[in-house]
Amino acid sequence: MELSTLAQQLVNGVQSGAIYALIAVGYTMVYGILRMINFAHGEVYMVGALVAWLGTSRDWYGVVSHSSTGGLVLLIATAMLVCMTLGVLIERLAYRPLRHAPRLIVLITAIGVSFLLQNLALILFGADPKTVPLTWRTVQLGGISISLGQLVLLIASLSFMAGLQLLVKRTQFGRAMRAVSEDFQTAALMGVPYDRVIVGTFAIGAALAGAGGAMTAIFVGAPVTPTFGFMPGVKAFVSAVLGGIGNIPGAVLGGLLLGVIEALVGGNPTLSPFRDAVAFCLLIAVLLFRPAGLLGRAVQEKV
Amino acid sequence: MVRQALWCGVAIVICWALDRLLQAAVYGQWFGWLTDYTYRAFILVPLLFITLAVSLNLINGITGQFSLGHAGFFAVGAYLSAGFSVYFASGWLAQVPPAWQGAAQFGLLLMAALIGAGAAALFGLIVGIPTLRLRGDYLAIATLGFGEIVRVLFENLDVFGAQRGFTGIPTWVGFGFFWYALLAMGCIAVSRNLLKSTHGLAFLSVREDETAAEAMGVSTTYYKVAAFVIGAMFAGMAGALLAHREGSIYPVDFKLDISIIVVTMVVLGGQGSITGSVLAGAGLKMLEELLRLLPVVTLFGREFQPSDFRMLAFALVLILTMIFRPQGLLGHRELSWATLRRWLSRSPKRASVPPAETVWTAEAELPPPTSISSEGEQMKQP
Repeated sequence: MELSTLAQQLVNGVQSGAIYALIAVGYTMVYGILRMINFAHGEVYMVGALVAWLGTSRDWYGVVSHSSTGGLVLLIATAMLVCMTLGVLIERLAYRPLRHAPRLIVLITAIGVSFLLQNLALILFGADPKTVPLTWRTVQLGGISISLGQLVLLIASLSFMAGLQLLVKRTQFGRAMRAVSEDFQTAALMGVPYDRVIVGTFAIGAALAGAGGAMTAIFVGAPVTPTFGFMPGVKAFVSAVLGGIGNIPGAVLGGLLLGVIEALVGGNPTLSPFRDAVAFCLLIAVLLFRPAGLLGRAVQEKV
Repeated sequence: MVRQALWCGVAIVICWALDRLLQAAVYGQWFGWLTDYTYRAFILVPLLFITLAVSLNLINGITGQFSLGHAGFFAVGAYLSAGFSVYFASGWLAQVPPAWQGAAQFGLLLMAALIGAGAAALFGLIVGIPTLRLRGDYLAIATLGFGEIVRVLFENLDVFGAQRGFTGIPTWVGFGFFWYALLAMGCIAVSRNLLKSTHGLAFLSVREDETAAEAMGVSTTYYKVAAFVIGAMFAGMAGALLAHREGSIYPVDFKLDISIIVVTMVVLGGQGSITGSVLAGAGLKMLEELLRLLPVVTLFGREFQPSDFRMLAFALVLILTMIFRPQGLLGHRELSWATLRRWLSRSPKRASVPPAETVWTAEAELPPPTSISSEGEQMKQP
């Protein structure tokens, strides 16, 4: 592989990795608190992309003018709000009744919710791929071509993650989140309203996934289908595990790493059909050899 | 031993007789409603899904290892057995004298089915050894990945027709009922007998409490892999039959949807209950077909076939079962000869008791639960 191709693949990898990271923080936060895989998280990402498509594909009385920066910001904010509502609804209707159920039951429910949302999207919007009608100028940087959209996406996702880190480390809500993920019973005894913290966690995670979906649709121009979110969702989960599940910087690192590895495999013509396999092989390898992930700390399993 | 052999013989004869009878009825158009289509949709496909559900139940329900990769094993069995028939067996069959064609076909089909089963079992072993060290959620994701990888593999292999589908498979299964029914019965019998054996207790112990099972000297990895391999084997055999009845198979036939549908069947029937898997497997598939009878609806300005809603319905069934009846319809209960006998002997007795005492006796005569563990704790994860 030539050096410029390699650099190009790296750039593409970092871009898809940033998206994985945005989804993965949602997985990792929910897992940290509830010890469950929110399978439906990928579908929330898909809904974000759908909102972006809906916003740009018709003229909303001129409110969302998609050529202006303000219009796009408004669109992404709308997507985040819609996804936030969806995330809270999912928690309320599907997961809260099962708060004390065995983990496997919650997992099966989550798979059900994921498929429900996929098929709802299929019925409401059909299976045809939908593309946001926007194109971005490409800039050449020493043999590497980066579209302006990709650049904006990268900067935006990095700032989202920085914001999240601030929220978790510096605010009272963040402290409550950390307390609940440490030990929710003790946190409850200390007066942390953990139901509210759980809802808040779902809302934040869903909003980030929604932003990720909307930005992928707008800035990368990826075609949106009902299964748009499934594979990215699963891969984001792998990223979360790779970085150490329950650990937010770990999820970001894992996402970027997975994105880059995938891009490198995808750049090889014989291996490219199997780029989806990379994530699963990585998952098995990580769980067998370093179950705590790259940044996680090893926890002794209680018997 | 003699008794088992006798049972097998009886089952084969009954299946064969029913097969002939059905074939005559379908082709002779004895009944207006029994067409080639309804026969396939209401008899063959449910039988296939009974096999899939019962074999997944062995992994998912009885051993408690949540697998989302069943469609993968199904695909491996279908593709590899079909590959054997197309590239090797067809050539061999051409050299057989005409008088022996029937017998040769029978033998080659058996061989293809065994190859499908063996290939799927081998895959189960290869996948199972690393992944089954994972627990619960992680296992689900890893097996899901396996299923998807298998599909992508067949989508990209040109020998198997890639995305165009693998066509021109000799349709040696013919009418189909005999083979499909035999496989379903075999799968049920193996599951049931396994459950009654010492090995069955080991499978159950892995499900109930892995740590405790390990402490009692049960090799949990061994039993997990064993369940995986046996389940995969039956799924592979089902795939082989499907390929040799339909004559062509496509990668989309083995999408993740199939795995989810089979999981829904196992969960709805009650994880661990073979009877439940059989009922839910056949029932859900038949209900899905009945959906097609509903009229076309127009929603949001677009027309919908009623069957467009089937995956939505499966997802809803899955969620609602988990929230309102996590143990499934049957829990761990099974329908056995003993239960049947109890039911049969109970009904006349009930009629003979004086009316005043009826309520009391009815309560006292409730059948004792046949499950090994209490239902509340069925899927405890350490």
